[in-house]
Amino acid sequence: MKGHKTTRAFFACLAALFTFVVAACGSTAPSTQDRANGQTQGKEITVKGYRGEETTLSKPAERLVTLEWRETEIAASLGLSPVGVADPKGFAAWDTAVTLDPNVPDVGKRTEPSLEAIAKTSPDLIVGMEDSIPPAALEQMKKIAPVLIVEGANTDDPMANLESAVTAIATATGKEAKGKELLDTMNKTIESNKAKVKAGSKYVLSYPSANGNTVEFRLHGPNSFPDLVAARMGLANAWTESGDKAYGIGNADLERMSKLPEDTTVLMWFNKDEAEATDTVLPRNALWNSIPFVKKGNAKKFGDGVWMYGGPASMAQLSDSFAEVFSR
Amino acid sequence: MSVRTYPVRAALSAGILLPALASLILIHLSQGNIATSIHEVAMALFGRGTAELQTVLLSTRIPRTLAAIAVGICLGFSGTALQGLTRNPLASPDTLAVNSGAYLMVALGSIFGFGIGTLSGGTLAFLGGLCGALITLAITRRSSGITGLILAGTVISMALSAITSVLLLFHTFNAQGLYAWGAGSLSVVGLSPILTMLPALGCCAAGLLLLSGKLDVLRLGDDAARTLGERLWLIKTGIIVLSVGLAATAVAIAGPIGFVGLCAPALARLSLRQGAPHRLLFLLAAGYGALLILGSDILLRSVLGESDAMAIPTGVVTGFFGAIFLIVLSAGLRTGNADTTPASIISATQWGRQHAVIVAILSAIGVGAALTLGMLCGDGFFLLGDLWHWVRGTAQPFIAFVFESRFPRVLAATLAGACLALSGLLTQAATRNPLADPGILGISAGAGTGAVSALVVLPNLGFGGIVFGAMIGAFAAAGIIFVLSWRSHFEPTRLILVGIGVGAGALSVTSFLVVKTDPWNQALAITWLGGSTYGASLPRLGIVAIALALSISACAVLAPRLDLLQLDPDTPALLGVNVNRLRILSLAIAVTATAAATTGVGVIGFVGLVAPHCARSLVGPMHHRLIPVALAIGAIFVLIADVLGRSVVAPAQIPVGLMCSVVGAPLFVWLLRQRKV
Repeated sequence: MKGHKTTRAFFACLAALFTFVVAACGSTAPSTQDRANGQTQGKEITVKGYRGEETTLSKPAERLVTLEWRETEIAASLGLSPVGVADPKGFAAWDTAVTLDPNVPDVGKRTEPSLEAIAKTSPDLIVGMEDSIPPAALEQMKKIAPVLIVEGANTDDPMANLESAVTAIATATGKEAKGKELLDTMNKTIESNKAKVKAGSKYVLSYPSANGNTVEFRLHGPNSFPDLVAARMGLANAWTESGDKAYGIGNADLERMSKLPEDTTVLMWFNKDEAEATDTVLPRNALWNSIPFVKKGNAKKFGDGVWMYGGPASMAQLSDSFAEVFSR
Repeated sequence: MSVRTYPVRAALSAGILLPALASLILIHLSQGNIATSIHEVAMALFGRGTAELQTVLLSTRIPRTLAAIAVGICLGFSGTALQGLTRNPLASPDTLAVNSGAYLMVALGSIFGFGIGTLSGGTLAFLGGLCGALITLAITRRSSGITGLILAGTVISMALSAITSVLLLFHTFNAQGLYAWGAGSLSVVGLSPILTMLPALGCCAAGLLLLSGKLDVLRLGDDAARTLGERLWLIKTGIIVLSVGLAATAVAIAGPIGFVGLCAPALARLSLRQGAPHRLLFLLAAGYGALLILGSDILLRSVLGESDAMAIPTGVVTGFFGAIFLIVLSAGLRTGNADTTPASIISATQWGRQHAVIVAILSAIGVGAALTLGMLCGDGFFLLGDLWHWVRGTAQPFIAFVFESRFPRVLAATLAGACLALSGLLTQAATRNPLADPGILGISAGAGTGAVSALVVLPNLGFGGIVFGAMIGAFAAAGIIFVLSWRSHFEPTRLILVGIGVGAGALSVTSFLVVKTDPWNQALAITWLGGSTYGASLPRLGIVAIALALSISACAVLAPRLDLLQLDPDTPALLGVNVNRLRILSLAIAVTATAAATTGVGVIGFVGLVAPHCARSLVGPMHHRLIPVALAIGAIFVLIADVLGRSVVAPAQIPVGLMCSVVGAPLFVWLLRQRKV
């Protein structure tokens, strides 16, 4: 092998690079010197984020970009139409509590939103969640528009967590009344559903997932978002392990599942777009079929399109779904 | 040594192996969420247990145990056959890209919805595995030797795994778990997946046993075998198909379980004498395979407890122990090609040597062009005029913002590329090994493990902790590699193989840490398992820039002595160069530069390999010419990988490390083929 091949390849690459750069001559927009700059002045709004840091807005935000599904849902429930949403396709599949404009711009993945896509939507407020964005990206985001960071999911007090998110977004958009109404509606729905269900019914909310030939159950522990609703409806969570600190989710295999109390109803969260362990692997398994709650038909598919970590509308939906299963 | 000693040794080994297997099986069966004693399980196996326990055993525990045994047998057989066929003690379904090919195909199948179910999964795995093996064998036909084959296989394997990661990143809700990162799991439900694959396992294993006599003949060498009247191509094709079939069976049952196919045959060889018949090797390797997997699984579950162990795939554990095994195995390996070679593979043209300054200037302009391109492309494209407005501070806010957000990423890519190129250059020169590179040698992976450990153990230290952790990790990885290779004077094969082992071990530790502490934090996984410029910030890059500047100046001082080191092992010492001190010094600089790059953008491979070789082929082996050109090419390489990662799937993004693997692997293979044998 002689170097002339590489040398040629090197020059070809350089030439290609230069061609691209030369092809990029011109500009897509005039410079600011060619344009007048105008700003409207109004009453200032100050919102507190999760650590008490303040975000100040000159007027109620109208053009929201939402980076997590719960925040997307809250914004939509408040009657706003976000101008940019992280992973709207996934949102539509998993959260049916609200319907988004099908043409809403996608700003990238929830964990790695594209700053440029966000900037392109020229928002006046970006709503994100604690810990979902690297700190450096957050700093840059603040240059696009004010950023409101709501508290991340945690199992300390999920209700307060949800309320603070709703209140913060509602305040920032000048829809405090509507925000209160959302929470009230949710509470009322949960209350009225509480009257419908048999108190003390034992339940477990699981997400069974099959990968190839294996199956695993993700289980929602005490103080997870769904348990918050169930507990207020008087249902008893038969899964008592606390799980991870954010979502309160723990893992179980079939054996562990078989040890749940016999009178438990096992709810299996599913999504019509995913391949389901409940249809493929489980029905053929002798141990699964021998578990008392399965024999009694108390292992049920549950909550298609109900986002278990969503906003008030999702929680109301969830409460309705619980009521349907556990009605007296 | 008489042939009769084999039965004795084999009987001895079997006498130890079988009781060990039996007890591990019992322990494995007694582990589970429902507390059972070994005694109860043993009774139940003989039909004297409660009905409940019988059901539990039949529907979850026996399948799990059988899966472990079946996978062990498959990988033991497959590894033995591949090692016999290639006459290479390090061949295995992992190192020949069979596992990763199979897994990629299975992932494709499940994403695009064809081939659901075990059998069709098995067919897909077989096709994928066969492709992986054929690519590996095809490209190494010309370069001979143990390293060539294993390196090509490992590198193709890396590229295929990178593609799988990208696919899973974009297509599954489940990709949030570690399963996405492709480690095998044994939580098989029900007997049917194993029963479905049993005929395939039986046929392939029986076929290999029938061919074992031919493998013994092959050991004599191709020519001797041909003289004995063997139809080589037929035999070889048969062996490849059967061994890939077995590896694919294992993937179809449990996903890719790392390194068992490498370790089990080695253990079998160790317990018999050199030249033992393959018939015995197969059987022993199968036993050891099962033993290794059962042992890893038992260990994982008894240390972590049932609930926690569920989240960690068994493959991570076998990967870790397999990596240690690979390190030990390679450290003691007699490779035959003990001589180190000058780092140069491709000779430069006369013109390039004479006009090195012009090449250097052109590459510098090239970096400028790539930088500009990096600024212009991404999620949305801009033109030079926009950039000019931004530089003058008159761009419209949106455009200004886009450039401001791209700038740190582009800069991070540039600095990391330059750091890694320098590091590769120094490593290659110091070890006199053309294939050494911080990525291949696992130094980058070590830095990543260190950084993640710091994040997990000392989260309050923030960025300082990450830098500190990365440095410690990188130096620890390098320390292991170089201590183990020092005595053999950096024998190239050994160095690389030990490095691959260290890298694999570090990667499994990182996976473990990510899954164990923050399973839902995908950003963490992307950065430390994939490498990303997302969220790069200027103040942090300052540290990288300082490290780079220091490394470059040190390197410039060392350049003349590094040139001498390329002559031959003895001349530099005669000329008064303290060779050992020079080596340690250059390696320390290389490791520092790698750690710096890793703190900036996470774990990125291949740059340190590709850039120095391209530079050598342009301006020749003298370091004062080489350094600037290599730096520039490294920067260009990462810049382009980053631009592609940011623009092709916008607004989503492909981590730059994965892009580098996909782009760098073919380049590496090409380099390998150019190597003077």
